[in-house]
Amino acid sequence: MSKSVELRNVWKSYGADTPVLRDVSLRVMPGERLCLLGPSGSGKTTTLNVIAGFTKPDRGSVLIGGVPQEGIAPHKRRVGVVFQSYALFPHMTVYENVAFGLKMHKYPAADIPARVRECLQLVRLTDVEKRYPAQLSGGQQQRVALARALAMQPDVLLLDEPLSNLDAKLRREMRAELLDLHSRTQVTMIFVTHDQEEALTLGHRIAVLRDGQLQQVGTPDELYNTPSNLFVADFIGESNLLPGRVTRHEGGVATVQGNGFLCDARAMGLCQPGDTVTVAIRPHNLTFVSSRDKALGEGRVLRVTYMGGRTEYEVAVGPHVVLVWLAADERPAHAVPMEPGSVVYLAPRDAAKVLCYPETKATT
Amino acid sequence: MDNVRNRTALTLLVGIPSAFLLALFVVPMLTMFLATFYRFDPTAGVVREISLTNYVRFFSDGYYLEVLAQTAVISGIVVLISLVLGYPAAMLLLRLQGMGRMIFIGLLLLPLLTSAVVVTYGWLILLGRGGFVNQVLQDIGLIRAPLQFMYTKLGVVIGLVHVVLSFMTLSIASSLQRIDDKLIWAAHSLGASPFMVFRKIIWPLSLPGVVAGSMLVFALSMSAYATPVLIGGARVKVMSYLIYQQQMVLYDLPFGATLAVILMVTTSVALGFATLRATRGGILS
Repeated sequence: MSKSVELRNVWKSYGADTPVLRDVSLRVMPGERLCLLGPSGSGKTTTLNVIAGFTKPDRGSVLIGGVPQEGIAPHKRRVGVVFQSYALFPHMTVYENVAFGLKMHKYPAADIPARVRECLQLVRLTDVEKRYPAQLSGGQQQRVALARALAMQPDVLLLDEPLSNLDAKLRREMRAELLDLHSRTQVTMIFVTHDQEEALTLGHRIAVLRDGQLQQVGTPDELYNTPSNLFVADFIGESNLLPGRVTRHEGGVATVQGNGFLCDARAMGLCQPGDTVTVAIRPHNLTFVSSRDKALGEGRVLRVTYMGGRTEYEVAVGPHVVLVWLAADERPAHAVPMEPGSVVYLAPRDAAKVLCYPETKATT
Repeated sequence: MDNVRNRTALTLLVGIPSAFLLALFVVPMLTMFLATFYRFDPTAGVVREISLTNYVRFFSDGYYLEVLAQTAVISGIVVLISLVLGYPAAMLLLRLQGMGRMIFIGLLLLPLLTSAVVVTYGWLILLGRGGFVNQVLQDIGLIRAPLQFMYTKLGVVIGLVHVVLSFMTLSIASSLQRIDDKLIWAAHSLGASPFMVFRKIIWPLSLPGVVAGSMLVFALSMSAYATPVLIGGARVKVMSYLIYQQQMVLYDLPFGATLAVILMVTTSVALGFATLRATRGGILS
């Protein structure tokens, strides 16, 4: 039942303002979980609206299961939607809400009660059929919204910020339940979120949006280890971003000289000698070494924070504050006092994961 | 010290408006109610003897019951027509933006800001045999000879609908406005056509406004005076006209008061019944 979803060169503007979506092209495989990730105003919800048919694109096309959806009204598309506010019908009971889609699609009346029960069991909700949405907790309302959207076995399930309204514990629970739901129904799922952690855990692939443009589409691993531009590197996970100048470029590796450091970085764009670039190193990709020769730079420990699972160090390198994360049971290969004020030498663990971009923070 | 000050302030705050209400509303009402039990004698005037003659007279003479029924029927028709016209107007109001919306609101407020008498006189000009309505209908060929609107129930209904329509429209609009857009999108995503969305989502959720508007329009129509009297004349008799006759022409104040009390009670019972049905049906809380 699940189908592919494709967006081809979709543009959308509201009025004469700047476009909300710019030339967005994306292909979601049947049964895939795709996450649309980006800051507020990046166009993620508009993308969902275009797929569902609530909004018509100015240019470009939307295809579901290979079929162009132009001219097909939202009520004729088999797209299930779970809104951020759940949008449960307040004047109907839980049963009536879940049965709504079935009735609209002329599901055999005798089979409706069983199907409603089945859907509520799927979202682990029982005994609430006769209640009204106002009598349910937020988490329960969301489950009803899910059950309602899945009742008619849609081709695609769209979820707008499914975990944003929940507290931390409920969020983890729902995350696991959504994954479980997906494995049981195998429906194509497209999520929207602004939380990169959510994206990394929920998506098979993630599409990063910024100001209506796709920055990168890839697996969590690809986005985390080889972000294609500075924005993605900064948005996903934690990164140290250090500006510098290219002194040498050989075989895709640029040597970058910055204020207080010198290192080799994999060029993620055109990084020619003399160019101003930004080096991105993840905090857990750094460690302390015993001497200057193996280091990319020297620094002074500013602060040490014990976080249980890891220890976070803030190190002043030149004018920059660099974050270094060491795992709880890890000790650097030498006994160096790790107190604020100590002089330390930093080096990357995996040189292949040190990246440089032909942009600076100011130009991104 | 503070407690005493608060107590005095509270007493004044509640007391002064209550005194007004008592003096200008409750006392006259009670006086009128009392008057229904008095008698009117052509030579002696109002005789302050308690009896039920007025009520007996009302219920035994079919004429008065007929007029009450006609008033109720006209009011009911006015409610239905203003609902049919007011609902789309309310939907339009919500869809308009900017300048268009301001103009539309202005149009809606105009009959409310103008005295019912003035509005009705306007209709007198339009509804006459040679009036604007007949001219247009003849010009576009819908009718051959001018229709009779004046002094008919139809004319009275037209005039009343104009006066009360804005109340209905605004009441429905306020209910419609509270409906979350996302509910409509959700219904669409579940396969509901625009018609189904109206039937299953919009209409049920707008019912509070519909009920409130209908009750308001019914009350206004039952008690309307200028419009039915000016357009209907002596031919279309409504309760308010009879009351005027009894009080101002025949000077039978007790009987006039009786008619007024019966009109009030009838209207209240109808509205109370509607409220009960609406509350039980979960429309109002």
